[in-house]
Amino acid sequence: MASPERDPQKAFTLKGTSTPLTVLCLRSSDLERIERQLATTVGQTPSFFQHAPLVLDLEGAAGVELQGLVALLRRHKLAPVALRNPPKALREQAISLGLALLLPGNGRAGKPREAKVETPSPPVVTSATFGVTVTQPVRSGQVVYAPQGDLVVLAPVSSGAEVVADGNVHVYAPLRGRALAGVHDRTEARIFCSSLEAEFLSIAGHYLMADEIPEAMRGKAVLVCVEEDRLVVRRLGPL
Amino acid sequence: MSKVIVVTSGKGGVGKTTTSANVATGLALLGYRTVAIDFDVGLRNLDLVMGCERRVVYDFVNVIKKEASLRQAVIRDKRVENLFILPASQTRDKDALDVEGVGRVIEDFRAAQFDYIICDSPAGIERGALMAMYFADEAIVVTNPEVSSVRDSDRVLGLLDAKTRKVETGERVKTHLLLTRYAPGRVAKGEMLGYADVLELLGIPLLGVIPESKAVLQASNLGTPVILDPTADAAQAYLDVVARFVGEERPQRFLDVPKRGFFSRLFGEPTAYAG
Ligand SMILES: Nc1ncnc2c1ncn2[C@@H]1O[C@H](COP(=O)(O)OP(=O)(O)OP(=O)(O)O)[C@@H](O)[C@H]1O
Ligand SMILES: [Mg+2]
Repeated sequence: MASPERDPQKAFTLKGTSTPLTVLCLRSSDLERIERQLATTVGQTPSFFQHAPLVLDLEGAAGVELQGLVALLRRHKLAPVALRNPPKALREQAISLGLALLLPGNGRAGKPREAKVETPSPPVVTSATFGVTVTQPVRSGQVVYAPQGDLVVLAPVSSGAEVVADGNVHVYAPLRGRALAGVHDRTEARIFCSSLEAEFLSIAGHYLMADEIPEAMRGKAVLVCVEEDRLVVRRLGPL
Repeated sequence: MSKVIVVTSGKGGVGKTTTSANVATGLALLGYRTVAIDFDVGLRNLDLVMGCERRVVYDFVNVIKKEASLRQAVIRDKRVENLFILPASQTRDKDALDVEGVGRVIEDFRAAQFDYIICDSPAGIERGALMAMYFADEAIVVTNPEVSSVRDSDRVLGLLDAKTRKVETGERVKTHLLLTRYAPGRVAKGEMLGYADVLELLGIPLLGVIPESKAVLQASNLGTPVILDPTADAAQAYLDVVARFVGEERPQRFLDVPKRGFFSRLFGEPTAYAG
């Protein structure tokens, strides 16, 4: 029963997480302009930004003076932690400033939440992960979460259970509990199930409560997707 | 090899203690050396249902705290050979149970060559219930044909897949569904879930169906498990259950009910409620 956390021999354990991070996508390398916008943005929702860990994306501002930028952000009580897809020229400097480098495909933090600081160009995320497959029933009170990818469930999801994914949710059995897909604002995510009996459906924050799910879709094989800012439920298979 | 069986449900009052007493008695009647342990510390019910409450000197907690030996605390049944009871304490609370102490008691029963160790779980999903399931090899999940009981059983099935020693060694606790207090007439009227609906919702094998029966209450009041009165319907049902448990094939009884899906009643045929 000695779980690694309790093992007195070990000073620490490593755990994967998928903590959502805010990305600052720069479009200008003009520090003054950046500062002006920061003052208003951070001023509007100061609690959201207080010491918030920040990933920097310099794609639109390759020539920025990195040391000055970092100092500026810290002055505004932001905590830059990493550089995403850094140009080669900036890598050494980033490391010396204590920033981590997020290179395409190097792991979990490579797919952070796109933030409201600036509306970014289409998501840069390409690293496909294998996702999570569950073969046993998901019972009442249990939550299964697939960070970064799809969740595939091959057994029933009970009423009172919750299945959650950053990508799509597939349930090849009755879905009686709650299903949430694209939880980090991925509106293109979908929910698929072979028998829809769900209590709650949500994609990227849009949702349907049990009594809003169309009666005609109950017990049917369906897909659920976002269209025009609403969740729609469609029959699966040949029409 | 001893088998540890937890009788559990989540929801209270569904028939765990009744089932523990009857299954333990039935196994002993077949010649298996069997002990029933009452994990419902603070309430103490099993000894009443099994009619040995006046012979309780030491209890489960005394053994865990090493205030008494197992030999001193275990009560030998007067009617059935091979049947033993380890009663719960009425004066302590459930925190008196700890993994180490419970594990030691179970090991001692294994060493004493018991065939079956039946753990009567308290209701809920807290410490007492978790302790009762932790060492289990198999679980009898007791469910009444109603939505809240099914939901709680589902919850408990999740815990059996997550919080047991079997899981830590990469195995699974084998689970059996026992549907109790089943009243086919009320099912037909739509007042209760049918067995087919419960089976579909929980998705584990059906060990048996125990009918709602006045004989059960009478038997508990007398301190004689109903299985000892073979004329009672509930006794027949429990005899079947025990036979199936040790591997005999017996057809299901006591479920004569027209098959109709719960969801079709809920969503398709509102008139069915009129009964
Ligand atoms: N098949 C049955 N028919 C009629 N009454 C029953 C049946 N099974 C159990 N009962 C009654 O239901 C009540 C609760 O039963 P029991 O004490 O076995 O439940 P329990 O699950 O152990 O309860 P708790 O959660 O409090 O420990 C008792 O009065 C018992 O006599
Ligand atoms: Mg009880």
